[in-house]
Amino acid sequence: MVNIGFQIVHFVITILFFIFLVATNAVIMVYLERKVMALMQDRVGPKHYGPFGSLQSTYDVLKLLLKEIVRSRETDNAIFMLAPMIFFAPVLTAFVMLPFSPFMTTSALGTGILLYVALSSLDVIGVFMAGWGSNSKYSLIGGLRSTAQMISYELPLLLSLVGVVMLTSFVSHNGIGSISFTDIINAQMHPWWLWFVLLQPLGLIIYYTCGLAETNRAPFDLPEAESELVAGYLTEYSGMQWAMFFLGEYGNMLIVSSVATALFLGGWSGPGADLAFWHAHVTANPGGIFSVADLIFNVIAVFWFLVKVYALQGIFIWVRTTLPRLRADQLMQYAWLILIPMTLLNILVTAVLLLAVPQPYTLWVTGGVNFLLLIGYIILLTRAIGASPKGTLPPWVEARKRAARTGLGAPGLPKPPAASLPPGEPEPAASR
Amino acid sequence: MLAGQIAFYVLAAAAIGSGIGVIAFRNAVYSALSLIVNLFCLALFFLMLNAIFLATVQVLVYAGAIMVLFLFVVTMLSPENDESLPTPDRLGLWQRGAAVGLGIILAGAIGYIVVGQAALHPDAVATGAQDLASQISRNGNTEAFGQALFHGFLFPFEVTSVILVAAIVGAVVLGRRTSSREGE
Repeated sequence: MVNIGFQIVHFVITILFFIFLVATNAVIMVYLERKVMALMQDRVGPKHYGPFGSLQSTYDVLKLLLKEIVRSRETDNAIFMLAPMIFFAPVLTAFVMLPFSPFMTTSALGTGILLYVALSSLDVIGVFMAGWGSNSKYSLIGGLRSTAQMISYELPLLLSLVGVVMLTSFVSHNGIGSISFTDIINAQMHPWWLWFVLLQPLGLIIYYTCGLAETNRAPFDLPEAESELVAGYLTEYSGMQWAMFFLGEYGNMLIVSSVATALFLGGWSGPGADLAFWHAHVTANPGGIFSVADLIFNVIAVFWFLVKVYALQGIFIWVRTTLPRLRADQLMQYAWLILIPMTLLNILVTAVLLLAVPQPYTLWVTGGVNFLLLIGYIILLTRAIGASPKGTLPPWVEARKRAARTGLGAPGLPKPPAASLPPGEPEPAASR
Repeated sequence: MLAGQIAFYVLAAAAIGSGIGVIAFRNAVYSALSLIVNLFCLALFFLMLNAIFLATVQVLVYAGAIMVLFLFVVTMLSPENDESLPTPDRLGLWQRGAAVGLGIILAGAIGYIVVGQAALHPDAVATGAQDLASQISRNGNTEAFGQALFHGFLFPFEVTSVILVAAIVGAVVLGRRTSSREGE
């Protein structure tokens, strides 16, 4: 019975810790997002409450807690009420497999990566229920868009992590790979800078892109596109229910960043995070469970982990301010025609190289070829999305040229704005 | 032991309740959501048997991916408004007869396994379980599963993948628009 009592205490402490972690992270991220976006858009951002406006998100949370929960009469009550909980529960659960430092793990789960993907696929059900249960057109369209998007991007997300698993089987001593986060971080420790991003940069880029899509962040924020869908599946929610969706979204960002940190950026490794070094130099041991050396090591390890996680979350904000939103068909084509073939190619190439290249050169060749693949991917991407403005013309010029070519007048065509073509200047020629 | 038993009965009640919900709800979305609960309960049963890999895959494949597709299709087609689809009051006599017959066969098979479990060769069961347990304690759950899949059962695994590819090709052929209707 003592054992069960201990387990219950352990469980309660863990859950409380994660709830506070998610909530604190959300408050910090909301503030950072506003400030960084303001910086990038040449604005001031929040500035009234607290020094540099740092209490703004605290006031926001208070407002949300005090707000009345408004519900429309036509909602499907059970589904509508359950949806925020079902969205939020997998986010909390996903933290059990994240190792913040060698001693700060809740369980050394053997199925880390798969469990993460499984839980992120459960999130979709919450979004779908919100869209369906609201019984409103905007919500339904947003929910369906989100479902389609999350199903599509789950595949390349999982496939992009296979390369890392294959690398662990090569690096580990007994030749058996692992999908547990702790094992994968440990595989990147010899030497401590051998992070898998050096061997799988393409994997990290694709994983991060899919992470953006899974968390419904810009440029993949079609499900809650405010200019066309009000707020997507969130339209009918208010107060704390709405806040739970947002807590879940920011928790998802934290999880995506933590997983990227653990799998590609070496987890807690960094200068000073060396247990043997501290054991050798700090001998003071006041007794108890932790020695001083363990404590110092843990603080440094958690520090490095959090630095990497927040750097990645900063990239989330940066991407949001930089890129415009994708169209629905572009979104799907990007997942199915570019990301999935690229991840499959990555798996094939990595497997062949790991098996074929002789021992001392294996990692060098694998990493080099993966960087070449990354460059190829970027070139493909610029071709596919037409990022270059070269050769593009305004629509009315295209229409006029088409009319001239076919010899047909375009009857319904609006007249070109006179001001945009200065008199005397020849019509812009097609450079395509 | 007691905690395990309580957990089992709670889970069993949830699984049976959601299973009844799948066929009892008139609303197709409710049925699909009940099926998700049911499949999730199955994953928790796997977890109680210490098969964490199977539990994870159950959630990933069934409760996550496949059921989300179900929900998607149910919402797009809204079958409760479609008069051409069979509902319980539009079933024919032979369908009811076939359902009763298949149900009797299923109940008989389950009863045979439950009652006749003792008749299985006890030594073979014990050695097989011990073999597996030692492998799991040596390498871990996931690794033991991988060893079994890619060393012991590689041929059935490959045959399954060929069948799945055939199904995908069939779906593409059936779902392809013909050029005459598309216009280009």
